[in-house]
Amino acid sequence: MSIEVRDVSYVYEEGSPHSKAALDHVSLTIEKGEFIGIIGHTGSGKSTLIQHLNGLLKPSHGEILYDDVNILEHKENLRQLRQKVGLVFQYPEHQLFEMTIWKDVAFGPTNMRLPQDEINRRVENALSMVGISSDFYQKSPFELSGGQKRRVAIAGVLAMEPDYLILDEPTAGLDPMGRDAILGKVMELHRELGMTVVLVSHSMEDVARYVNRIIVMDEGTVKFDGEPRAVFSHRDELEAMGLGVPQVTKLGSLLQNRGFRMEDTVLTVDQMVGQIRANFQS
Amino acid sequence: MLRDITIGQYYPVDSVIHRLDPRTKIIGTIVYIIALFLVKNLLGFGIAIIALAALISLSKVPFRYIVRGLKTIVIILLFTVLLNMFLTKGDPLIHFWIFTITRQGIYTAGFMGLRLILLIIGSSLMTLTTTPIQLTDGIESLLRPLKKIKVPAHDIAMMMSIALRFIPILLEETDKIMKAQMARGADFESGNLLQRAKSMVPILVPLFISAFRRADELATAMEARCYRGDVGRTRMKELHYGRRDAVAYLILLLFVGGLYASRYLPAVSQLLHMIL
Amino acid sequence: MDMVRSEGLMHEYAVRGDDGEVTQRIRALDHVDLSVQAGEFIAVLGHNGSGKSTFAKHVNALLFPDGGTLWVDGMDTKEEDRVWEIRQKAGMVFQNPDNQIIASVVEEDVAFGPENLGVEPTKIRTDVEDSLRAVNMLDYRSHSPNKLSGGQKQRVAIAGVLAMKPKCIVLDEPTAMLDPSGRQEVMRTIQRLNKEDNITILHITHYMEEAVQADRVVVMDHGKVVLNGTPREVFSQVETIKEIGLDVPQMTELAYRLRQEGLEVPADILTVEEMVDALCRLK
Repeated sequence: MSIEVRDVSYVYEEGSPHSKAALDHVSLTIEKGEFIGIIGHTGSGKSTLIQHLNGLLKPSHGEILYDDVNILEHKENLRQLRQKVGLVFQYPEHQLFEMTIWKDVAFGPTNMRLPQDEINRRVENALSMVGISSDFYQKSPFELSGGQKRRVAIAGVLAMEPDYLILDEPTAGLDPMGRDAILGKVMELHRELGMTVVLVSHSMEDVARYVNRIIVMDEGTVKFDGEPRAVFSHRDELEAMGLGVPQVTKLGSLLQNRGFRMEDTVLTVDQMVGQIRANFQS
Repeated sequence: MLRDITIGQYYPVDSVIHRLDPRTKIIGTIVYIIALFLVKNLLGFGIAIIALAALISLSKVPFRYIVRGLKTIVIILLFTVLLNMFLTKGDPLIHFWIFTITRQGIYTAGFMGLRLILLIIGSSLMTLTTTPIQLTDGIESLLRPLKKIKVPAHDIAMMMSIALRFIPILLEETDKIMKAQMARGADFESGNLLQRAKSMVPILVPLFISAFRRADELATAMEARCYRGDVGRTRMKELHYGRRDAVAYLILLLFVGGLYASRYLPAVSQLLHMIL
Repeated sequence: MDMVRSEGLMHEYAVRGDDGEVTQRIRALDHVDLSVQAGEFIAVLGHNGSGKSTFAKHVNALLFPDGGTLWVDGMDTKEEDRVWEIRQKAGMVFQNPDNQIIASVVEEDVAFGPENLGVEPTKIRTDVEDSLRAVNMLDYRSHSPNKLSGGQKQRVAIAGVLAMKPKCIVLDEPTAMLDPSGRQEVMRTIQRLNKEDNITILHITHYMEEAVQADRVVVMDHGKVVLNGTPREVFSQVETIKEIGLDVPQMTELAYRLRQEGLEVPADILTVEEMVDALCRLK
């Protein structure tokens, strides 16, 4: 299974003098089972791109294929699509609205018109996936802490049991503990359930730590698309875009200039410890 | 559709109209609206239309942009026109089933429609050429004499200006919440009226919560910047009437005089006939 | 001279049950003793709920002590008639850029503070201009704040505080909602205000990269000050900081790991350049 974005352009306020191309002939394919990080600064088109992936926006030009079929032509298909491709917006806790956590998470499955016992199963499953215990089910979501609220909101999307999970800056505004809790859970979903994850992030360190493919967006186009090592080897270009690379990666390339041997582009502290150890052992 | 609302939006260009004192524009608009309801004949409407057209061309706001604001009130407009057309008694012209259209009905309906259109265009011209801040300053200044009878002029003006500042933010937020709920399978387009009303709950609840949170944070921020009502408060931009405004008031007077004369024009011509 | 000084500062929140009775009292600040010198740049770290925002609100006299005393520029925040003076001396910038901009035009918003203080109109005009110039936003004076980026909005908010001629600025997580370039803009701005205009800065954050730029770092946990010192002193306590649930700069963490491996790099390394130098010296 795959999502293929084929030569897609998107223009905001088409036909008006304020019109602006947010996406400019973007082509890429998301394969089932991948963990992808999308990076780019504000206005680079990354939010516009992910809203195309579940049909919230329609391309001004080009098409999006799901398993080689363009299914956007019918409205019914669109609803199915949104169940298959779950999108978690920025600050998702701002969409909570129900009296209890349980009911809020049940909103998606209920909209899918599933039988009640299936809804129950999914809600419980989703909440346990994000680490919210059953003591909380009947509490109001508004009593929770910021990080917990966000996990409930993510469960609201997970309860639809999507094949693809897209998260737009899921750690924005959280403290390091809240951030690690969410990214850890997302990693678990990917590793244990084989869920395809697309993570939009500003943090090079987070992206380097979790994903196995990076897409760099700049001015509505895809600048780089590949394995983290390959993408982060373009340090100068990334810095010119105002994005930069993880600090250890920068350290690796500076050390190389000073005569250290580095096997490959370094992405994490663990790898760096190993590389430096190797240098001092010989 | 939300983008079509031009009332309350400012159109940033430099023109004579933009540079007028907001008080002049507010009073002018009020006088114009009252005048519209006193006008009873075609000549009067002619004067009102020509006056408005002249103001629009002076304001440099594209006519198309102003008309866009009418789209949002089309239904109210149609409703008023139809109501007037069918409910006015007089000489019947067409009769079918239980409806009768009279000659007077067509006149009243036409005039009412014209009145509403001119009213909307006239008042949007004011908001398009006056920044929200100027507008609230103007209102505050005009309401000031009423403070003696305990009208909270400053508070009304402050509330208006904050509302104007947050309208675009809340519109954007509504759009975002709608998309987020659609991503959870919400459907706002199908079903009967009741179902549709119910489907608004997932949008309205988060919107209210967000509005209250913003209000709370804004109040704290205002307090942190030493806000304590209008006690001892000064203004960076104080309102000053200029020569421009004197001319504008003069023109306004002429306009009212012209309209007044137009009501008696048939009488005047009759009088002339009698004398000759 | 102390710009801000607290002695045994306490703050309690009441938690109410369903029937409105007070079921629990949570101590947000628990005997905080802290002093900030005039002209210092202090970063306050701590995770959500550690009491750091509560402390910030006390400095701006938006909250009042439940015990102990807080002085701002020598004024006791308990003295009710000096509240406005304190708020003018210690201005405050908040996290959400949208929810602290009051006016629909940039310069009108910056004028809001001085207007409240009753400053002469002509003086407000020059103060507003100076403040906008100081944050590099003078070109945007007649723009609508809605069209600005997050970083630009925060700079307008800082200008709004500057126009009140403060001695100290308290920033409560001003970068939490910004992207990396917005964060840099804000950091550069407050750095400059601190260095050039000698304004005391109390910067509350959970980004370690930002804390590294301060003269002094204060780490709060459970309403108490747990670490207080230069960035080097504080971040070299890798274990304590991780226990609290905070990050250390990536290079400090690497130094810590390398020392565990037996490599003699200094424990207080903060930047990539320092690490390169340390490793080259060892080789």
